[in-house]
Amino acid sequence: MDKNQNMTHFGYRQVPTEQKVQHVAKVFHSVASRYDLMNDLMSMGIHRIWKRFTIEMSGVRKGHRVLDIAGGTGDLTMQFSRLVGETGTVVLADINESMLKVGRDRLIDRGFGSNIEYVQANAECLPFPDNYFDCITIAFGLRNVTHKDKALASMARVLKPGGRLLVLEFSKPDNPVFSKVYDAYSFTALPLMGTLIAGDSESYRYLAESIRMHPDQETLKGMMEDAGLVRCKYYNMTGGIVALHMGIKA
Amino acid sequence: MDPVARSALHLALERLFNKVLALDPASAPRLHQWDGKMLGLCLQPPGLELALLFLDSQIRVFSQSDGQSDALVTGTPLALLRFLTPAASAPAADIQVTGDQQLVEEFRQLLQELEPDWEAELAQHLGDVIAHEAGRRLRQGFRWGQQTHRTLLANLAEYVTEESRLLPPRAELEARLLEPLPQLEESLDELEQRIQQLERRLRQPSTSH
Repeated sequence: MDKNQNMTHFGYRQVPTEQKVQHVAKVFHSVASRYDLMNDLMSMGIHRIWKRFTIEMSGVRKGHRVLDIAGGTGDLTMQFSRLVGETGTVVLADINESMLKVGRDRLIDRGFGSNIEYVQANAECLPFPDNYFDCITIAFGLRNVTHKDKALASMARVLKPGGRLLVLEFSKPDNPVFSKVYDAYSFTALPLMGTLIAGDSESYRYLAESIRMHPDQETLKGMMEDAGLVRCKYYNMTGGIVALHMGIKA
Repeated sequence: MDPVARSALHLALERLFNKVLALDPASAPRLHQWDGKMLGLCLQPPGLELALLFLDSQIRVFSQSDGQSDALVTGTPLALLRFLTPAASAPAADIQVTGDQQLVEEFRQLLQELEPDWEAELAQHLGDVIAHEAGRRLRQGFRWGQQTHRTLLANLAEYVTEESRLLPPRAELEARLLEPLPQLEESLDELEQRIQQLERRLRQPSTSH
């Protein structure tokens, strides 16, 4: 067997495929406690608007069942919990125990609870029945998944026919000049902020690298179509730094 | 419009709506009864849609209703503004309402009867005494503005109809327009009968040769 077949990218580094999960887990164990603060600083607060647009496009209403994969500290879950009301359910899933714990504590502290379930799960093999959710979101999580195609297929499986998958993820800026500025910011300011605020520059260097290794808008759209989703489209935000991909299960 | 700008605008509108609604305690129970309902507003032109979702006695502003709104109000931005503001007494002709008419009517009522307690809000920042004085002057100013507006309109109407005779007074205009109507109707009836008579004659087989 070709040696490269067992390797995958972890930022710009190549690591054995089976070890990527541990590497990603290490990053998120390290940043979990400062995750929200760093998000606000790095995006200058705009991540809240990116997430708000995701909520707007979700079409989630009272009584719906929603899965928030890689839900981290629960930003989207909080909004979904209000939208689905007492008759609906939101499942906050994350592969990382530390992130899930921070998210659960934060939501409970803010009085959320009765309609939220917490599940530690790998997006590649979701532990839910077929045709189960009205809406699935994965915000800033897909690029950390080792086998993205498997994860998308798994999400499509647990989605109800007519249900929506929304992938909010860093993407490729559409303007070359803007792209240069963004590169300079990502590879200098992010690790510096990581060192000063979270005491961890490596994790934030990985963040910048993993964004560059993530499929661009058209490639990801194609991957969603390959997973069996239809009417796939994407919305570029902030010049393409972030894109929201949406697909419907036929 | 860029999704970020659009969402930021929705967020700003949502905060403004909820801030004003919170200043009138009477609005919360009314909002609560529409919990989970959605009201779509379609501005035509420019073809912009806003969806107001009533949730937990608050309003959420979304960019699209996905066909899930309980009622949809369509009109030009100006017509919609007139329709929803206190000045409107009846649904305007240039407004289209589909779906739950009751929800639309009750929502209009809520906006028209809204009495935000600005003084209480101001008092939190400036103290009771200054807030009360500012509120009193604002109310006085508002009343003066309304009165001036009414007087100005009445004087202007009187000038163009009675003094300069640029326009006829309403009663005269209606009389002139309505006077020839019965005669016109009569002529139309006669014409219609004449046409029918001619059609009948055309359908009859010719007996002249």
